[in-house]
Amino acid sequence: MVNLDQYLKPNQTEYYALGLEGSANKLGIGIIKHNIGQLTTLNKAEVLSNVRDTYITPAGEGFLPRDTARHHRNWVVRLIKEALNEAFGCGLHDSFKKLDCICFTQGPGMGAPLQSVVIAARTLSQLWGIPMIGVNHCIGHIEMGREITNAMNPVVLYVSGGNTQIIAYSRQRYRIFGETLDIAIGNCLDRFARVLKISNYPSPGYNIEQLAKKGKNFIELPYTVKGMDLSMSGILEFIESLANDLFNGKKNKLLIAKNGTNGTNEDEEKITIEDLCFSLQECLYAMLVEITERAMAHVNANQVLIVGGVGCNERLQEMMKIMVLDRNGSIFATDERFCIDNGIMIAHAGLLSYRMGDFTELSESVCTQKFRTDEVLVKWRDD
Amino acid sequence: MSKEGEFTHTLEFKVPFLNSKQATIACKSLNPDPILKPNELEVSYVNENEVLIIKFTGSSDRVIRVAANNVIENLKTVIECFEVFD
Repeated sequence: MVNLDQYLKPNQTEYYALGLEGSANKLGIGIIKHNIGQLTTLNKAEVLSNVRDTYITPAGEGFLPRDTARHHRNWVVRLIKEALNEAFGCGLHDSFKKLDCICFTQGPGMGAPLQSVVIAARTLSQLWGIPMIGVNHCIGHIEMGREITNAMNPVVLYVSGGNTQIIAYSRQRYRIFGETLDIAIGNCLDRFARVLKISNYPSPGYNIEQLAKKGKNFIELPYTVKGMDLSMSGILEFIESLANDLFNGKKNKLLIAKNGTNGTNEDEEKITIEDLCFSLQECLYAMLVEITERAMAHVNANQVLIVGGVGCNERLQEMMKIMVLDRNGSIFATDERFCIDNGIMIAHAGLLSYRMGDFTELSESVCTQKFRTDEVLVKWRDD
Repeated sequence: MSKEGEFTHTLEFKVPFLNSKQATIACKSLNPDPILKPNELEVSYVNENEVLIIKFTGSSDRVIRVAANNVIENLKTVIECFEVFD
């Protein structure tokens, strides 16, 4: 076991961290508390506040870096204030004195939004005289998922708008076993939602899931697992053209589902938007389940943890559960508070780093769009 | 700077703060981020007492305008932090 209290200050019995997350269209601020000692089921991290504001674009439009950065700039100070009030409930001028550090997402993510948030982190760090800690976004998801679900050493499926990775821990690194070769799964779903012009509120993926529940005809889509990796741009291209044919009333034999056995025209049924959503979900999630199962066999694990925004999709959780139960394993997932990007996970992962004596100098606090999960040395684990 | 000759356009901001502490913090908050196109633009931040001086030198007015806009946006966040938390 790693000693997490090597850098304990005299008389200190607990740690508090502020986390700032803004790598994509969500701005999340959270405050977490750790008591001294190992984190166990009896000594859990405590979420003091976890507030979020999402930049929602009109239906059919994605979020652009510049506009997203402007959203974050508009909200960041207000949201920090709200998080402090919620956590400590007292006057602002005293509440920050409890904080040990400020954690921020250093990457991966969109450059401009990341940069707009780190400015606030730098200013507050100097103003309050506490260190900053740059956190890898993916590590934030993994550590928060482990803390919430008590999964000890799971295979981690990290699925979100910007990332699709299958990860397992080995010798102080979260190692990537497989990942997308082109676009992320959430990106694939979001972009399909844009073609359908469905609302981006609360999230495009959620709305696709609701439509998919009404779908009943499965259309075969390309199935593109490449070893441990995935490719999704071809599937998107394929289903986009199907959707366009459907909208334009173009004849396409794939858009007709045959129900009967005698093959007459009366048995024919037109494929609907709902069927397309259903088929896309089934196809993509089947691919995820396949690589997850292979990763489990590789590392001999029986736990699966799903993190990232797409992780709150109930159909994905259901399909994964069927596979995991077949292998006598267990599945762990969190709800939207912790699945979808949030500040608390950054605070939690950052605080773990802080307790191991790490911090980020101002000069090193530049954010980076590319920051791989396996670049981080996981000092707080030694199993 | 060897490229000084190519940088024909300049712009200078002088931003007064309440005190020199705030000016120093603002300077250090803005300073770390690198310029995306160093062959077209240079930005320097210095603080003299309570005044933050930002100098832009660049190869065209366009690159300076973009950079200056961005710096002003960042400054707004810094100032808002002071306003609420200092």
